Amino acid sequence: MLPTITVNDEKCKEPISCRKCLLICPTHVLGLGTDVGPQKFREIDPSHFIVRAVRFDKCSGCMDCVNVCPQNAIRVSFSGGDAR
Amino acid sequence: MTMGWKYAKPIKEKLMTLEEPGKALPFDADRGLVDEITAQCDIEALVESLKGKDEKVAGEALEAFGKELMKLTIELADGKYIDRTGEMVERVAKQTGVSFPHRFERYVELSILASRPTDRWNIAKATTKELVLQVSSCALNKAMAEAGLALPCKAMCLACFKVAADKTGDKLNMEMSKTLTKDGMCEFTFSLQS
Amino acid sequence: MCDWCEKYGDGYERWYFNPANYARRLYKIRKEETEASGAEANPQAAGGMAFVGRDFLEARERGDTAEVERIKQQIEGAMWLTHFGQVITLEEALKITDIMYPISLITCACRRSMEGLPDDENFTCMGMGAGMYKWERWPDTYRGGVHFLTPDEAKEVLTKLNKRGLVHSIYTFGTPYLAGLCNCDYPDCAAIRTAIDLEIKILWKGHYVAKIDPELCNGCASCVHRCQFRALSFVPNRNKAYIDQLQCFGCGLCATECDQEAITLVERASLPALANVW
Repeated sequence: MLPTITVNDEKCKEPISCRKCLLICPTHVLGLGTDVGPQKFREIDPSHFIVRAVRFDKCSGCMDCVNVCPQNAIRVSFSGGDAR
Repeated sequence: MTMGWKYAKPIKEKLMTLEEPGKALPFDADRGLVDEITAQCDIEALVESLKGKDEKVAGEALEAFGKELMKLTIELADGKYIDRTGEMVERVAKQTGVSFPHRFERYVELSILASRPTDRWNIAKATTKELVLQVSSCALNKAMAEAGLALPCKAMCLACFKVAADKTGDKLNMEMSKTLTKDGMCEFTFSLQS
Repeated sequence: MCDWCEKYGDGYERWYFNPANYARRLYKIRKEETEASGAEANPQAAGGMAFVGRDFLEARERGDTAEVERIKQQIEGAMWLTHFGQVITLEEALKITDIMYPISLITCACRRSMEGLPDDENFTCMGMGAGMYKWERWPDTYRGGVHFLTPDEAKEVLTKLNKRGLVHSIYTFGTPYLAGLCNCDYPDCAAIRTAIDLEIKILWKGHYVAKIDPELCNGCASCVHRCQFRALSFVPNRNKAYIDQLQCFGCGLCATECDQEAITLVERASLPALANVW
Protein backbone atom coordinates (compact mmCIF):
# COMPACT_ATOMS: atom_id res chain seq x y z
CA MET A 1 0.00 0.00 0.00
CA LEU A 2 1.39 3.40 -1.00
CA PRO A 3 1.32 6.06 1.72
CA THR A 4 0.64 9.74 1.30
CA ILE A 5 3.74 11.59 2.45
CA THR A 6 3.69 15.37 2.67
CA VAL A 7 6.33 17.86 3.72
CA ASN A 8 5.46 21.39 4.76
CA ASP A 9 8.09 23.50 2.99
CA GLU A 10 7.14 26.53 5.10
CA LYS A 11 8.35 24.69 8.17
CA CYS A 12 11.23 22.78 6.57
CA LYS A 13 13.57 25.64 5.71
CA GLU A 14 16.97 24.21 4.86
CA PRO A 15 16.84 20.44 4.63
CA ILE A 16 20.26 20.10 3.00
CA SER A 17 21.92 21.17 6.26
CA CYS A 18 19.43 19.37 8.56
CA ARG A 19 18.89 16.09 6.65
CA LYS A 20 17.74 14.23 9.77
CA CYS A 21 14.78 12.64 7.97
CA LEU A 22 16.93 11.50 5.04
CA LEU A 23 19.36 9.74 7.34
CA ILE A 24 16.89 8.13 9.73
CA CYS A 25 14.61 6.55 7.13
CA PRO A 26 15.42 2.82 7.18
CA THR A 27 14.39 2.34 3.56
CA HIS A 28 15.67 5.63 2.02
CA VAL A 29 12.21 6.76 0.93
CA LEU A 30 12.87 10.50 1.04
CA GLY A 31 15.04 12.64 -1.19
CA LEU A 32 15.97 16.25 -1.84
CA GLY A 33 14.84 18.25 -4.82
CA THR A 34 14.69 21.95 -5.55
CA ASP A 35 11.74 24.29 -6.04
CA VAL A 36 13.54 26.09 -8.87
CA GLY A 37 15.07 24.78 -12.09
CA PRO A 38 18.82 24.54 -12.69
CA GLN A 39 20.54 27.93 -12.76
CA LYS A 40 23.22 28.97 -15.21
CA PHE A 41 26.50 30.20 -13.67
CA ARG A 42 25.34 29.76 -10.07
CA GLU A 43 24.67 27.02 -7.57
CA ILE A 44 21.10 26.80 -6.34
CA ASP A 45 20.72 28.49 -2.96
CA PRO A 46 20.25 26.04 -0.05
CA SER A 47 16.92 27.72 0.77
CA HIS A 48 15.50 26.29 -2.48
CA PHE A 49 16.00 22.67 -1.45
CA ILE A 50 12.88 20.70 -0.51
CA VAL A 51 12.26 17.22 0.85
CA ARG A 52 9.93 14.94 -1.07
CA ALA A 53 9.09 11.27 -0.90
CA VAL A 54 10.57 9.35 -3.82
CA ARG A 55 10.34 5.66 -3.03
CA PHE A 56 6.73 5.50 -1.76
CA ASP A 57 6.76 1.77 -2.45
CA LYS A 58 9.48 1.24 0.16
CA CYS A 59 7.77 3.07 3.05
CA SER A 60 6.96 0.78 5.99
CA GLY A 61 5.07 3.41 7.95
CA CYS A 62 7.51 3.42 10.88
CA MET A 63 7.06 7.19 11.32
CA ASP A 64 10.72 7.73 12.24
CA CYS A 65 10.89 10.69 9.82
CA VAL A 66 7.78 12.24 11.36
CA ASN A 67 9.22 11.92 14.84
CA VAL A 68 12.75 13.08 14.04
CA CYS A 69 11.75 16.28 12.24
CA PRO A 70 12.61 19.23 14.50
CA GLN A 71 10.04 21.37 12.68
CA ASN A 72 7.24 18.78 12.74
CA ALA A 73 6.97 19.27 8.97
CA ILE A 74 6.39 15.68 7.76
CA ARG A 75 3.09 13.78 7.57
CA VAL A 76 2.74 10.12 6.59
CA SER A 77 -0.64 8.55 6.08
CA PHE A 78 -1.77 5.14 4.90
CA SER A 79 -5.48 5.93 4.89
CA GLY A 80 -5.54 8.93 2.64
CA GLY A 81 -6.18 11.13 5.67
CA ASP A 82 -3.73 13.17 7.67
CA ALA A 83 -2.82 10.49 10.19
CA ARG A 84 0.31 10.52 12.23
CA MET B 1 53.49 7.62 -7.39
CA THR B 2 50.04 8.12 -5.91
CA MET B 3 48.16 11.20 -4.76
CA GLY B 4 47.22 9.49 -1.51
CA TRP B 5 43.60 10.37 -2.24
CA LYS B 6 41.19 9.82 0.67
CA TYR B 7 37.86 8.23 -0.19
CA ALA B 8 35.18 10.76 -1.24
CA LYS B 9 37.28 13.74 -0.13
CA PRO B 10 38.14 16.78 -2.23
CA ILE B 11 41.81 17.29 -3.09
CA LYS B 12 42.43 20.69 -1.57
CA GLU B 13 45.33 21.82 -3.73
CA LYS B 14 43.44 20.93 -6.92
CA LEU B 15 39.84 21.90 -6.13
CA MET B 16 38.35 24.57 -8.38
CA THR B 17 35.23 26.30 -7.14
CA LEU B 18 32.97 28.90 -8.71
CA GLU B 19 34.77 32.23 -8.66
CA GLU B 20 32.01 34.74 -9.23
CA PRO B 21 28.60 33.12 -8.80
CA GLY B 22 26.06 34.57 -11.20
CA LYS B 23 28.58 36.09 -13.58
CA ALA B 24 27.87 35.06 -17.18
CA LEU B 25 30.92 33.45 -18.76
CA PRO B 26 31.54 33.30 -22.52
CA PHE B 27 32.29 29.68 -23.47
CA ASP B 28 31.60 29.85 -27.21
CA ALA B 29 33.70 31.45 -29.95
CA ASP B 30 33.22 35.20 -30.17
CA ARG B 31 31.43 36.54 -33.26
CA GLY B 32 34.01 39.35 -33.35
CA LEU B 33 36.78 36.78 -33.82
CA VAL B 34 34.93 35.39 -36.82
CA ASP B 35 34.29 38.82 -38.34
CA GLU B 36 37.86 40.04 -37.96
CA ILE B 37 39.40 36.87 -39.31
CA THR B 38 37.07 36.47 -42.27
CA ALA B 39 37.85 40.09 -43.18
CA GLN B 40 41.61 39.58 -42.98
CA CYS B 41 41.85 36.02 -44.25
CA ASP B 42 39.38 36.06 -47.12
CA ILE B 43 38.91 32.67 -48.80
CA GLU B 44 37.30 34.15 -51.95
CA ALA B 45 40.20 36.56 -52.42
CA LEU B 46 42.70 33.75 -51.85
CA VAL B 47 41.07 31.61 -54.54
CA GLU B 48 40.95 34.56 -56.91
CA SER B 49 44.70 35.10 -56.43
CA LEU B 50 45.45 31.46 -57.19
CA LYS B 51 43.97 31.59 -60.69
CA GLY B 52 46.59 31.05 -63.38
CA LYS B 53 49.31 30.15 -60.86
CA ASP B 54 51.28 26.94 -61.23
CA GLU B 55 51.10 24.30 -58.53
CA LYS B 56 54.32 25.33 -56.79
CA VAL B 57 53.54 29.02 -56.55
CA ALA B 58 49.93 28.32 -55.59
CA GLY B 59 51.12 25.85 -52.94
CA GLU B 60 53.33 28.51 -51.41
CA ALA B 61 50.48 31.00 -51.40
CA LEU B 62 48.20 28.48 -49.69
CA GLU B 63 50.86 27.76 -47.10
CA ALA B 64 51.41 31.44 -46.40
CA PHE B 65 47.67 31.95 -46.04
CA GLY B 66 47.44 29.06 -43.55
CA LYS B 67 50.30 30.37 -41.45
CA GLU B 68 48.86 33.86 -41.36
CA LEU B 69 45.41 32.52 -40.48
CA MET B 70 46.67 30.60 -37.44
CA LYS B 71 48.93 33.43 -36.31
CA LEU B 72 45.98 35.78 -36.31
CA THR B 73 43.69 33.20 -34.68
CA ILE B 74 46.10 32.65 -31.80
CA GLU B 75 46.66 36.37 -31.31
CA LEU B 76 42.95 37.20 -31.19
CA ALA B 77 41.79 34.06 -29.35
CA ASP B 78 44.30 34.61 -26.57
CA GLY B 79 43.89 38.36 -26.50
CA LYS B 80 40.99 40.49 -27.59
CA TYR B 81 38.54 37.57 -27.88
CA ILE B 82 39.67 35.30 -25.05
CA ASP B 83 36.90 32.91 -24.03
CA ARG B 84 36.27 30.99 -20.82
CA THR B 85 36.68 27.59 -22.52
CA GLY B 86 40.20 28.60 -23.50
CA GLU B 87 41.01 29.82 -20.01
CA MET B 88 39.78 26.56 -18.53
CA VAL B 89 41.69 24.47 -21.10
CA GLU B 90 44.89 26.23 -20.03
CA ARG B 91 44.09 25.87 -16.35
CA VAL B 92 43.33 22.15 -16.66
CA ALA B 93 46.54 21.58 -18.64
CA LYS B 94 48.44 23.30 -15.87
CA GLN B 95 46.73 21.18 -13.21
CA THR B 96 47.33 17.85 -14.96
CA GLY B 97 50.48 18.60 -16.93
CA VAL B 98 48.70 17.22 -20.00
CA SER B 99 48.80 19.67 -22.91
CA PHE B 100 47.47 17.53 -25.74
CA PRO B 101 44.88 17.36 -27.26
CA HIS B 102 42.81 20.32 -26.17
CA ARG B 103 45.28 23.22 -26.16
CA PHE B 104 46.08 22.37 -29.78
CA GLU B 105 42.51 21.42 -30.65
CA ARG B 106 41.28 24.79 -29.42
CA TYR B 107 43.36 26.75 -31.94
CA VAL B 108 42.51 24.32 -34.73
CA GLU B 109 38.78 24.64 -34.06
CA LEU B 110 38.86 28.41 -33.79
CA SER B 111 40.86 28.81 -37.00
CA ILE B 112 38.25 26.78 -38.89
CA LEU B 113 35.24 28.45 -37.27
CA ALA B 114 36.68 31.91 -37.79
CA SER B 115 37.81 31.58 -41.42
CA ARG B 116 35.14 29.21 -42.74
CA PRO B 117 32.16 29.55 -40.39
CA THR B 118 29.79 27.56 -42.59
CA ASP B 119 32.01 24.46 -42.89
CA ARG B 120 30.79 21.15 -41.51
CA TRP B 121 33.37 19.37 -39.38
CA ASN B 122 33.69 17.12 -36.40
CA ILE B 123 36.16 15.90 -33.80
CA ALA B 124 36.13 12.10 -34.18
CA LYS B 125 38.79 11.26 -31.60
CA ALA B 126 40.36 13.27 -28.81
CA THR B 127 42.61 11.24 -26.54
CA THR B 128 45.83 12.32 -24.86
CA LYS B 129 47.69 10.60 -27.71
CA GLU B 130 45.63 11.23 -30.81
CA LEU B 131 43.29 13.83 -32.25
CA VAL B 132 41.20 13.21 -35.36
CA LEU B 133 39.50 16.04 -37.22
CA GLN B 134 37.01 15.36 -40.02
CA VAL B 135 35.89 18.10 -42.41
CA SER B 136 32.94 17.11 -44.57
CA SER B 137 32.19 20.47 -46.18
CA CYS B 138 34.82 23.14 -46.77
CA ALA B 139 34.42 26.65 -48.18
CA LEU B 140 37.96 26.68 -49.63
CA ASN B 141 37.50 23.35 -51.37
CA LYS B 142 34.16 24.53 -52.76
CA ALA B 143 35.46 27.90 -53.97
CA MET B 144 38.40 26.21 -55.70
CA ALA B 145 36.13 23.69 -57.41
CA GLU B 146 33.89 26.52 -58.61
CA ALA B 147 36.92 28.35 -60.00
CA GLY B 148 37.99 25.16 -61.77
CA LEU B 149 41.19 24.91 -59.72
CA ALA B 150 42.62 21.53 -58.74
CA LEU B 151 45.36 22.56 -56.31
CA PRO B 152 46.68 20.78 -53.23
CA CYS B 153 44.82 22.93 -50.71
CA LYS B 154 45.94 20.67 -47.87
CA ALA B 155 49.06 22.87 -47.83
CA MET B 156 46.87 25.58 -46.31
CA CYS B 157 45.45 23.39 -43.52
CA LEU B 158 48.71 21.66 -42.66
CA ALA B 159 50.69 24.93 -42.51
CA CYS B 160 47.96 26.43 -40.36
CA PHE B 161 47.89 23.47 -37.92
CA LYS B 162 51.70 23.42 -37.74
CA VAL B 163 51.70 26.97 -36.35
CA ALA B 164 49.28 25.85 -33.62
CA ALA B 165 51.44 22.85 -32.69
CA ASP B 166 54.48 25.13 -32.48
CA LYS B 167 52.57 27.46 -30.20
CA THR B 168 51.41 24.69 -27.81
CA GLY B 169 54.76 22.87 -27.95
CA ASP B 170 53.12 19.53 -28.75
CA LYS B 171 55.39 17.38 -30.90
CA LEU B 172 52.92 16.00 -33.40
CA ASN B 173 52.84 13.77 -36.43
CA MET B 174 50.26 15.17 -38.83
CA GLU B 175 48.71 12.89 -41.37
CA MET B 176 45.98 13.47 -43.86
CA SER B 177 44.21 10.13 -43.89
CA LYS B 178 41.28 11.10 -46.17
CA THR B 179 40.53 13.87 -48.65
CA LEU B 180 37.24 15.52 -49.55
CA THR B 181 37.59 14.97 -53.28
CA LYS B 182 38.32 11.26 -52.93
CA ASP B 183 36.64 10.18 -49.69
CA GLY B 184 33.92 12.78 -49.18
CA MET B 185 35.78 14.24 -46.20
CA CYS B 186 39.17 15.53 -45.24
CA GLU B 187 40.47 13.63 -42.24
CA PHE B 188 43.48 14.85 -40.29
CA THR B 189 45.12 12.61 -37.72
CA PHE B 190 47.40 14.30 -35.21
CA SER B 191 49.37 11.94 -33.03
CA LEU B 192 51.73 12.77 -30.22
CA GLN B 193 55.27 11.58 -30.91
CA SER B 194 56.26 9.12 -28.22
CA MET C 1 25.35 -8.42 -29.08
CA CYS C 2 24.56 -5.41 -26.94
CA ASP C 3 22.41 -2.92 -28.91
CA TRP C 4 24.81 -0.09 -28.16
CA CYS C 5 27.88 -1.98 -29.34
CA GLU C 6 26.03 -2.79 -32.52
CA LYS C 7 25.00 0.83 -33.12
CA TYR C 8 28.01 2.71 -31.79
CA GLY C 9 30.85 0.17 -31.54
CA ASP C 10 32.33 0.93 -34.97
CA GLY C 11 34.54 -2.14 -34.94
CA TYR C 12 35.67 -1.77 -31.32
CA GLU C 13 35.08 -4.64 -28.91
CA ARG C 14 32.67 -2.51 -26.86
CA TRP C 15 30.91 0.75 -27.69
CA TYR C 16 32.57 2.34 -24.67
CA PHE C 17 36.02 1.52 -26.06
CA ASN C 18 35.25 3.54 -29.20
CA PRO C 19 37.04 6.89 -28.68
CA ALA C 20 34.55 8.62 -31.01
CA ASN C 21 31.92 8.29 -28.27
CA TYR C 22 34.02 10.49 -25.96
CA ALA C 23 35.06 13.09 -28.55
CA ARG C 24 33.28 16.38 -28.98
CA ARG C 25 33.96 19.84 -30.40
CA LEU C 26 35.05 22.51 -27.95
CA TYR C 27 33.44 25.38 -29.81
CA LYS C 28 30.49 26.76 -31.65
CA ILE C 29 30.00 30.40 -32.59
CA ARG C 30 28.35 32.44 -29.86
CA LYS C 31 24.85 33.71 -30.49
CA GLU C 32 24.44 37.46 -30.56
CA GLU C 33 23.11 37.88 -27.03
CA THR C 34 25.44 37.15 -24.13
CA GLU C 35 24.67 34.03 -22.17
CA ALA C 36 22.02 34.98 -19.67
CA SER C 37 21.76 33.57 -16.21
CA GLY C 38 18.59 31.61 -15.71
CA ALA C 39 16.86 28.31 -16.26
CA GLU C 40 17.39 26.64 -19.60
CA ALA C 41 17.64 23.00 -20.51
CA ASN C 42 20.33 21.68 -18.23
CA PRO C 43 22.21 18.69 -19.61
CA GLN C 44 21.58 16.82 -16.41
CA ALA C 45 18.47 16.75 -14.29
CA ALA C 46 19.72 17.37 -10.80
CA GLY C 47 20.02 14.25 -8.80
CA GLY C 48 18.14 11.23 -7.77
CA MET C 49 14.50 12.13 -7.93
CA ALA C 50 13.88 12.69 -11.58
CA PHE C 51 13.29 9.37 -13.36
CA VAL C 52 9.99 7.92 -12.21
CA GLY C 53 6.83 9.53 -10.84
CA ARG C 54 4.22 8.24 -8.40
CA ASP C 55 1.89 7.40 -11.29
CA PHE C 56 4.12 4.44 -12.13
CA LEU C 57 4.10 3.14 -8.56
CA GLU C 58 0.31 3.49 -8.38
CA ALA C 59 -0.19 1.65 -11.66
CA ARG C 60 2.06 -1.10 -10.41
CA GLU C 61 0.21 -1.36 -7.12
CA ARG C 62 -3.21 -1.69 -8.73
CA GLY C 63 -1.83 -4.30 -11.12
CA ASP C 64 -2.39 -2.24 -14.27
CA THR C 65 0.27 -4.01 -16.35
CA ALA C 66 -0.62 -2.15 -19.55
CA GLU C 67 -0.10 1.22 -17.87
CA VAL C 68 3.09 0.00 -16.19
CA GLU C 69 4.42 -1.11 -19.56
CA ARG C 70 3.38 2.16 -21.22
CA ILE C 71 5.16 4.35 -18.66
CA LYS C 72 8.20 2.08 -18.65
CA GLN C 73 8.54 2.30 -22.43
CA GLN C 74 8.02 6.04 -22.36
CA ILE C 75 10.78 6.55 -19.80
CA GLU C 76 13.19 4.10 -21.44
CA GLY C 77 12.56 5.57 -24.89
CA ALA C 78 13.41 9.06 -23.68
CA MET C 79 16.36 8.08 -21.51
CA TRP C 80 18.04 5.83 -24.07
CA LEU C 81 18.29 8.84 -26.40
CA THR C 82 19.64 11.19 -23.76
CA HIS C 83 20.99 9.81 -20.51
CA PHE C 84 21.43 6.19 -19.52
CA GLY C 85 24.21 3.99 -18.23
CA GLN C 86 25.85 0.61 -18.51
CA VAL C 87 27.78 -1.28 -15.85
CA ILE C 88 31.47 -1.84 -16.51
CA THR C 89 34.20 -3.66 -14.60
CA LEU C 90 37.13 -1.98 -12.87
CA GLU C 91 39.45 -3.25 -15.57
CA GLU C 92 37.25 -1.67 -18.25
CA ALA C 93 37.00 1.60 -16.30
CA LEU C 94 40.79 1.78 -16.04
CA LYS C 95 41.09 1.21 -19.77
CA ILE C 96 38.63 4.03 -20.50
CA THR C 97 40.82 6.55 -18.66
CA ASP C 98 43.25 6.31 -21.58
CA ILE C 99 40.74 7.09 -24.34
CA MET C 100 38.97 10.15 -22.95
CA TYR C 101 40.15 13.51 -21.65
CA PRO C 102 39.85 15.57 -19.52
CA ILE C 103 38.84 13.56 -16.44
CA SER C 104 37.27 15.34 -13.51
CA LEU C 105 36.49 14.22 -9.97
CA ILE C 106 33.16 15.72 -8.93
CA THR C 107 30.41 15.28 -6.33
CA CYS C 108 27.66 12.67 -6.77
CA ALA C 109 24.26 14.25 -7.49
CA CYS C 110 22.36 11.11 -6.48
CA ARG C 111 23.87 10.89 -3.01
CA ARG C 112 23.38 14.62 -2.56
CA SER C 113 19.72 14.07 -3.32
CA MET C 114 19.14 10.93 -1.26
CA GLU C 115 21.41 11.62 1.72
CA GLY C 116 21.92 15.37 1.58
CA LEU C 117 25.58 14.42 1.64
CA PRO C 118 27.88 17.45 2.22
CA ASP C 119 30.14 18.21 -0.72
CA ASP C 120 33.38 17.46 1.12
CA GLU C 121 32.24 13.86 1.74
CA ASN C 122 30.80 13.35 -1.70
CA PHE C 123 33.60 13.35 -4.31
CA THR C 124 32.93 9.94 -5.84
CA CYS C 125 31.74 10.78 -9.36
CA MET C 126 33.66 11.47 -12.56
CA GLY C 127 32.81 13.77 -15.44
CA MET C 128 34.62 13.19 -18.73
CA GLY C 129 35.42 14.95 -21.95
CA ALA C 130 35.42 18.39 -23.53
CA GLY C 131 32.16 19.43 -21.87
CA MET C 132 33.96 19.51 -18.50
CA TYR C 133 35.81 22.69 -19.54
CA LYS C 134 32.40 24.35 -19.32
CA TRP C 135 31.48 23.09 -15.86
CA GLU C 136 30.88 26.65 -14.65
CA ARG C 137 27.94 26.99 -17.04
CA TRP C 138 25.82 24.61 -14.93
CA PRO C 139 27.58 24.72 -11.56
CA ASP C 140 24.76 23.05 -9.66
CA THR C 141 25.55 19.81 -11.46
CA TYR C 142 29.08 20.19 -10.08
CA ARG C 143 28.19 21.53 -6.62
CA GLY C 144 31.23 21.82 -4.42
CA GLY C 145 33.62 22.27 -7.35
CA VAL C 146 35.69 20.11 -9.65
CA HIS C 147 39.22 18.81 -9.96
CA PHE C 148 40.98 17.53 -13.03
CA LEU C 149 43.02 14.34 -12.90
CA THR C 150 45.69 12.73 -15.03
CA PRO C 151 44.79 9.28 -16.39
CA ASP C 152 47.03 7.74 -13.70
CA GLU C 153 45.38 9.74 -10.92
CA ALA C 154 41.98 8.68 -12.26
CA LYS C 155 43.10 5.05 -12.07
CA GLU C 156 44.09 5.55 -8.44
CA VAL C 157 40.69 7.04 -7.62
CA LEU C 158 38.77 4.31 -9.46
CA THR C 159 40.75 1.57 -7.74
CA LYS C 160 40.01 3.06 -4.34
CA LEU C 161 36.31 3.45 -5.14
CA ASN C 162 36.23 -0.19 -6.24
CA LYS C 163 37.91 -1.31 -3.05
CA ARG C 164 35.26 0.55 -1.11
CA GLY C 165 32.64 -1.44 -3.02
CA LEU C 166 31.17 0.97 -5.57
CA VAL C 167 29.91 -0.17 -8.98
CA HIS C 168 31.44 1.54 -12.03
CA SER C 169 29.18 2.57 -14.88
CA ILE C 170 29.38 4.87 -17.88
CA TYR C 171 26.59 7.31 -18.82
CA THR C 172 25.55 9.04 -22.00
CA PHE C 173 24.76 12.75 -22.19
CA GLY C 174 23.05 12.76 -25.58
CA THR C 175 23.55 9.16 -26.75
CA PRO C 176 26.12 7.94 -27.79
CA TYR C 177 28.27 10.71 -26.27
CA LEU C 178 29.72 9.32 -23.05
CA ALA C 179 30.52 11.89 -20.37
CA GLY C 180 29.90 10.30 -16.97
CA LEU C 181 31.85 7.62 -15.15
CA CYS C 182 29.75 7.01 -12.06
CA ASN C 183 30.58 4.97 -9.00
CA CYS C 184 27.37 3.79 -7.48
CA ASP C 185 25.61 1.88 -4.74
CA TYR C 186 22.07 0.80 -3.87
CA PRO C 187 19.69 2.40 -3.03
CA ASP C 188 20.92 5.97 -3.36
CA CYS C 189 21.99 5.62 -7.00
CA ALA C 190 18.93 6.52 -9.05
CA ALA C 191 19.97 4.28 -11.93
CA ILE C 192 20.63 1.14 -9.87
CA ARG C 193 17.44 1.38 -7.84
CA THR C 194 15.32 2.19 -10.89
CA ALA C 195 16.78 -0.80 -12.71
CA ILE C 196 16.41 -3.37 -9.96
CA ASP C 197 13.38 -2.13 -7.98
CA LEU C 198 11.25 -0.91 -10.86
CA GLU C 199 12.74 -2.88 -13.76
CA ILE C 200 13.09 0.24 -15.85
CA LYS C 201 16.32 -0.08 -17.77
CA ILE C 202 18.09 3.22 -17.20
CA LEU C 203 21.12 1.15 -16.26
CA TRP C 204 22.04 -1.69 -18.62
CA LYS C 205 23.74 -4.81 -17.35
CA GLY C 206 27.41 -5.18 -18.26
CA HIS C 207 29.06 -7.54 -20.71
CA TYR C 208 30.02 -10.08 -18.06
CA VAL C 209 28.30 -12.49 -15.70
CA ALA C 210 29.93 -13.69 -12.48
CA LYS C 211 30.31 -17.41 -11.84
CA ILE C 212 31.38 -19.26 -8.70
CA ASP C 213 33.64 -22.29 -8.74
CA PRO C 214 32.25 -24.35 -5.83
CA GLU C 215 35.52 -26.27 -5.55
CA LEU C 216 37.44 -23.06 -4.85
CA CYS C 217 34.85 -21.23 -2.70
CA ASN C 218 35.85 -21.68 0.95
CA GLY C 219 32.67 -20.19 2.36
CA CYS C 220 34.29 -17.06 3.81
CA ALA C 221 31.35 -14.94 2.54
CA SER C 222 33.51 -11.86 2.09
CA CYS C 223 32.00 -11.40 -1.39
CA VAL C 224 28.40 -11.24 -0.19
CA HIS C 225 28.38 -7.59 0.89
CA ARG C 226 29.93 -6.54 -2.43
CA CYS C 227 26.81 -7.13 -4.54
CA GLN C 228 24.60 -4.10 -5.16
CA PHE C 229 22.13 -5.99 -7.37
CA ARG C 230 20.65 -8.67 -5.09
CA ALA C 231 22.38 -11.32 -7.16
CA LEU C 232 24.68 -12.74 -4.50
CA SER C 233 23.67 -14.66 -1.38
CA PHE C 234 25.04 -17.34 0.88
CA VAL C 235 23.92 -20.96 1.19
CA PRO C 236 24.70 -22.01 4.79
CA ASN C 237 24.13 -25.72 4.32
CA ARG C 238 26.65 -25.93 1.50
CA ASN C 239 28.81 -23.23 3.07
CA LYS C 240 29.21 -21.57 -0.32
CA ALA C 241 28.35 -18.24 -1.90
CA TYR C 242 25.56 -18.32 -4.49
CA ILE C 243 25.21 -16.08 -7.55
CA ASP C 244 21.92 -15.63 -9.38
CA GLN C 245 23.33 -15.22 -12.87
CA LEU C 246 20.03 -13.92 -14.23
CA GLN C 247 20.17 -11.06 -11.77
CA CYS C 248 23.94 -10.42 -12.05
CA PHE C 249 24.95 -7.08 -13.61
CA GLY C 250 28.53 -8.20 -14.23
CA CYS C 251 30.27 -5.43 -12.26
CA GLY C 252 32.93 -7.82 -10.95
CA LEU C 253 32.98 -6.42 -7.40
CA CYS C 254 32.51 -9.88 -5.89
CA ALA C 255 35.36 -11.29 -7.98
CA THR C 256 37.84 -8.58 -6.97
CA GLU C 257 37.11 -9.33 -3.28
CA CYS C 258 37.57 -13.13 -3.47
CA ASP C 259 41.09 -14.10 -2.42
CA GLN C 260 40.47 -17.73 -3.40
CA GLU C 261 39.88 -16.65 -7.00
CA ALA C 262 36.69 -18.68 -6.84
CA ILE C 263 34.67 -16.11 -8.79
CA THR C 264 35.33 -15.48 -12.47
CA LEU C 265 33.65 -13.23 -14.99
CA VAL C 266 32.36 -14.94 -18.09
CA GLU C 267 31.21 -13.22 -21.26
CA ARG C 268 27.46 -12.65 -21.21
CA ALA C 269 27.43 -13.46 -24.93
CA SER C 270 28.78 -16.96 -24.19
CA LEU C 271 25.66 -17.93 -22.22
CA PRO C 272 22.70 -18.65 -24.52
CA ALA C 273 20.05 -17.79 -21.93
CA LEU C 274 21.74 -14.55 -20.89
CA ALA C 275 23.21 -13.27 -24.15
CA ASN C 276 20.27 -10.93 -24.63
CA VAL C 277 19.45 -10.24 -21.00
CA TRP C 278 20.48 -6.66 -20.35
